[in-house]
Amino acid sequence: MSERMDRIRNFCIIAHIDHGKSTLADRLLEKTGVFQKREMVEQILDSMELERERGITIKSKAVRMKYTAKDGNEYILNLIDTPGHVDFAYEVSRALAACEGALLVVDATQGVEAQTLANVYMAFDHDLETVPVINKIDLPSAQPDVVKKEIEDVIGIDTEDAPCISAKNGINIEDVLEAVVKRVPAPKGDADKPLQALIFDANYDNYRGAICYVRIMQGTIKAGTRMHLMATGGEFDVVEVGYFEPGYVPCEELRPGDVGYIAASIKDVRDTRVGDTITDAAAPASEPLPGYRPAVPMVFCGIYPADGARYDDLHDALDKLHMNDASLSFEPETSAALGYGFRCGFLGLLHMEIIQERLEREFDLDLVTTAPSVVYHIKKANGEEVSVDNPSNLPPIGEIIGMEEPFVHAEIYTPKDSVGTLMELCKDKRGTFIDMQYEGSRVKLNYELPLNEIIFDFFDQVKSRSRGYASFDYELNGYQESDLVKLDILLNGDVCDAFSLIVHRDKAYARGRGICEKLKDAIPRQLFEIPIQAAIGGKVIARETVKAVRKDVLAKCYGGDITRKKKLLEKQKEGKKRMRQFGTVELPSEAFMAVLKISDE
Amino acid sequence: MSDASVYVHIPFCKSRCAYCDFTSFTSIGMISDYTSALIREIKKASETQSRLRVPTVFIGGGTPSLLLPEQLIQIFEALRSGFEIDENAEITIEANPGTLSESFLKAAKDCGVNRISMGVQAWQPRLLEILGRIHRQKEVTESADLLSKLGFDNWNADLMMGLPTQTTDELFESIDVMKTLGAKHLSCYSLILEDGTRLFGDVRSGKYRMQTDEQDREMYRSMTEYMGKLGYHQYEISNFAYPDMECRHNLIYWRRKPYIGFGCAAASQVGNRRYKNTASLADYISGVSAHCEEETISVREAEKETVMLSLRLREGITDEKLLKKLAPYTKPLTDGGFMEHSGKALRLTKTGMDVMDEIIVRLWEGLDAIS
Repeated sequence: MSERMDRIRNFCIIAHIDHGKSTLADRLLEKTGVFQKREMVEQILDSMELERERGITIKSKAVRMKYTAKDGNEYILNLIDTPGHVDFAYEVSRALAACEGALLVVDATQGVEAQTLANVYMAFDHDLETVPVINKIDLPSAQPDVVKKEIEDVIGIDTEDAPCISAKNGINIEDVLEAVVKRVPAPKGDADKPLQALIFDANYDNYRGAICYVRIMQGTIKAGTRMHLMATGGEFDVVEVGYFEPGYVPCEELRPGDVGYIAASIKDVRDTRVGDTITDAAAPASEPLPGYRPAVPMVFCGIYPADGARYDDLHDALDKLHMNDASLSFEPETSAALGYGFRCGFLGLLHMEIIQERLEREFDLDLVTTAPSVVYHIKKANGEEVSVDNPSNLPPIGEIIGMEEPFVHAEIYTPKDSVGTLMELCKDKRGTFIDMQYEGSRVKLNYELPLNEIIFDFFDQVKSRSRGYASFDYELNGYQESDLVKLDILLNGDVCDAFSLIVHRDKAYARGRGICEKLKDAIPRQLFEIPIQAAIGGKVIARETVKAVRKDVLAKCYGGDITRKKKLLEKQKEGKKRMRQFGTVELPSEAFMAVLKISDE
Repeated sequence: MSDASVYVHIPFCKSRCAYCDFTSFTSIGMISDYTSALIREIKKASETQSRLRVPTVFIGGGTPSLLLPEQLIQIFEALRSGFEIDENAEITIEANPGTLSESFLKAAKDCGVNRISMGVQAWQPRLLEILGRIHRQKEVTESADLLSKLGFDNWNADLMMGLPTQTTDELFESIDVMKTLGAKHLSCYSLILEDGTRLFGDVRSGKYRMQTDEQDREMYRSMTEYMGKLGYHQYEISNFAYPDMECRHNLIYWRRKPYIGFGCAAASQVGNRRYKNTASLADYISGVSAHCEEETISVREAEKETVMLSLRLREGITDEKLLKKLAPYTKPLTDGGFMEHSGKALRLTKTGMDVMDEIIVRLWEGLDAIS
């Protein structure tokens, strides 16, 4: 093995939420001089405003640190920061595949948590050397020895030399760096073999186009190399290669074991799929790296500008976000209630929320979104099969002879005492129990669940029912025939397409009632009485009415009240501008939001 | 000589009522300093502009009947020396039962006051308790007797409806009593729960329950009908009077005629300007602060205000030019039974009154679309 590669360590940090992953990353960067203390902001790798605020990582990132170890040698330490949510499980797996080791951060006051376990298993799956780090030892309730024992018992890794640190107060950070050097294996890979570089993320830069974040497995790449993307088939001339420090710093070439970037004037980020393998077009590798999976949107919803005049702005914004996020898909659609907008596809619910929030924040857009949907397979009487991701596009009932919905295989890790309530939840969500396994004091529940049940509030329910302890992961597991119906909502007798849903027949009544109730509160009283009805194929199953009276008219209005009264009415008038006219009914954006927050209860 | 009505604000009360969020203070000791400040403001105003003819005067509050007779006299001296108050001017003073004394009323009579507005709110002790009113039934009848004794024939009683636990029969009883006591004018407003008031807390804590909008509207409809039966005709959304006994001063506001307000937080509207005095009692008394919330009202804004205010009135919108402009937008509303023609004017129907704000907003949208 070359001396160069011997001095490289590629690692990631895994932890339960709040156990100090980002803080430790900050300390490592500070300690290795990547940033001076005065330049540091908290959670430096979470550069997106949204990431900092929510305390989550959305995109994978990497940073290269130089560290002179106690053995006197200078090491290159590449830290790859990964997202931490099931929606991005695939992205995480590719980032882990770029590492040889993982720091497992465990809170000395909390011990091993469900998410810790889930993460550890993922690290094991990728054969990562897992280095335990006991954090928050300076807290009065810290029990490092108890926690160490727990790690040994539950996870089965040796904790004898585990660094005991306080990331917050910078205690024993050097021990962590030493452990990385000593315990994480050096990368392997032959520089003379055909190039194989794993893309673990991509980012769009206005000047250089789509930039691939890569880990070189074997071979070398430099400016001028004609590169070939093995899954998408694209070919580009490499303009620049370099490292993350953490800004882009160009270098001569990237060699085996290196973590860095490749810029090749790639216009379309879709050409740079996470998990794809870059090789040299002149001397290609015979095989791509294992594990590539094209990003498949699983959840769809309509996104409309609250102000119809901003349709073009929304289009531009989606284009820009898409540059950085190939897993986002969108195409134009129109709705009778909402006008012109886009049907957007996402990896999961969090991904959807993140995109919506970024559109609103980074592009200053007010959005109206429709209820999330999955892709249904419809068998028609004429033998045709169609896929439907928008309930409004469902063929007439008479033409349908069968419908299939996607199912997932769900794994829930939970402490024993929440097993009952979580099994209840799964049953309620039409889940089929597969099995359960006891792992120490934890239980792994395996269920088969319909995807359309978990896109609503399942994740939140899992968290709240287990007081935050349970974690949940899922993967798509094919389609199954299902007794599905289209639930329509009628306002003043007309079907309002934006509210239509495809649901299981058993859930239709409860859902219909819930939506009618929510809408009754969300639709302001208007000149006329507005009947709200839920219907399945013309049969009304629930009804509410928005009454036509208001009482604010009776406020006094003498000389001193005129200005105030006028302002109130102006506000009411402005509010109307943001309302959607649906026939004679005026719908505020809140009405569409309210429907999204329906549970079956 | 141009016309302007005069409003004088006396922002003091013996105690704060449970539902009230108006500018009012319980620091009664400051009334004397306040009176001086008022007189200073009145003098300054009369010096800085050409002499105005005043068709109506309204001394409101708060509780103006807390003024000492000589304070009231000083205020009127200042008004009469600064302005040309019409010989047949309507001069109203607000009073709360229990604060009216014979000496005060006599002084008022001497000052030319010819109309009294009494804050009765409800006849039933249970409802007065909910409202946090400090007067008793006896004080209402005593005040009414006093008015009649001193020859104040024209008086109004403020009543409230939609109170927690209030029944329609109780509201009718309150109206009956006022009629028997001789009220020529009744105003009847729905209780509006204002954030931060004591009643707001009582409702939030569950001590009282507000009437639903439907119950309130139902009570309103019964009330307007009952008022008509008793001879009080409705001339504004919440105001009722015997023939020719409408409050001329309040009609000035609703018809967008000019008025000048004196006192803390008082509003004025002259020409195309409207402004308010400071709401800080200390600032007002020390005279440091200038007008606030000053606005210049464009022609379009004035039209909007005319729509907003005229629709409160039974006479409706009478401005022909405005009616012409609005025609395309009023058509669906008359078709829908929300508005009706009365001669050349256009007014709300009973159905329309329930949704007045929405109708105003629609007509405003029409005006916006024209420009």
